[in-house]
Amino acid sequence: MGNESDARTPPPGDAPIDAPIDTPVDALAAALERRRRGDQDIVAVDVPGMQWVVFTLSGRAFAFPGAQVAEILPLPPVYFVPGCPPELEGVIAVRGSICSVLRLGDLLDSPHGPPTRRTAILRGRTADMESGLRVDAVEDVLEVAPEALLPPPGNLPERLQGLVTGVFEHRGQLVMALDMERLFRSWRDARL
Amino acid sequence: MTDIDLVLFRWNALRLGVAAGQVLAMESTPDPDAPSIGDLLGLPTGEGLPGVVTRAGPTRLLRLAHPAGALRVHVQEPVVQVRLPASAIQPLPPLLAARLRLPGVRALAWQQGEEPGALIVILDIGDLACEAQPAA
Repeated sequence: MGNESDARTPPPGDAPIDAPIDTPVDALAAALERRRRGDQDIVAVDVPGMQWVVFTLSGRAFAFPGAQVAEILPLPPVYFVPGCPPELEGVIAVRGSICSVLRLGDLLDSPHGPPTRRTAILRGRTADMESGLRVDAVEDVLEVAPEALLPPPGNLPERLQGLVTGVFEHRGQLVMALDMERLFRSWRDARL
Repeated sequence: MTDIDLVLFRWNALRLGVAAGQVLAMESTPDPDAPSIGDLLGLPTGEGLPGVVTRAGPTRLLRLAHPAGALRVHVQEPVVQVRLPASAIQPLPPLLAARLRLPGVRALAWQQGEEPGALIVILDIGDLACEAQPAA
């Protein structure tokens, strides 16, 4: 017991823990509030553009606006958090910050293939939400002309309706353009 | 920046922690009537990391400060007190916070130099539903 390097072991018995406890419980609340404020300061540095991040799930091509993808990460260790819906895989460390990871394939009814060296995490960011999104592979980051973006087809699967904002062609494949804000809100409100 | 004192313990493969100020004492005598932290969190027996075989460690009884009175709860060793920099402790990511079913989770933290299993789930004992117990 108590074999951690920076740890002190509470003593057995009814006596209070003898190590000095000079951190009031509220210090934790203050630290968390500082962290929340700090996170807000990071938002709103991206300029919306015509760039799209194209990726695949089960061989189907999707894309998010580049402005909604903060970075593309190779698959890091994902830490399980109990009590989460199965499509929330856990959390990852991103330069010391904690970021949730959603299994995007599970949300879009496109089951993930086994992890490969191409498996990636898109760190998605909207005005008030942020999360990692697991994808099978990132195919490209490209500019799409406005006239090349077509309205979503009427025969979309029910799960994709409301999430797909348009379609465009890339390398002979139809790419479904998604909106991160709608995706996050739908999942947050348990509508996915 | 402020450092935060926490008391850490385990429940199977999970590393859990509470603010040190919420821990009144650690008792060595088991109490069959006291719940386990797994009971309070609603974790099924054997809950752990997917694909990881875990073995339950010896248990200790912590006496915790709860608004309803002192709460005695079984946790698994090792039980240690640590001081973490505030920068290591973070609020729950927003989507996780919105859908998390585990009660009483207040924050997450990384403990430097502790791999794997460096993630600590920090609990607020006051948010756990329980009944006050008579003092032992």
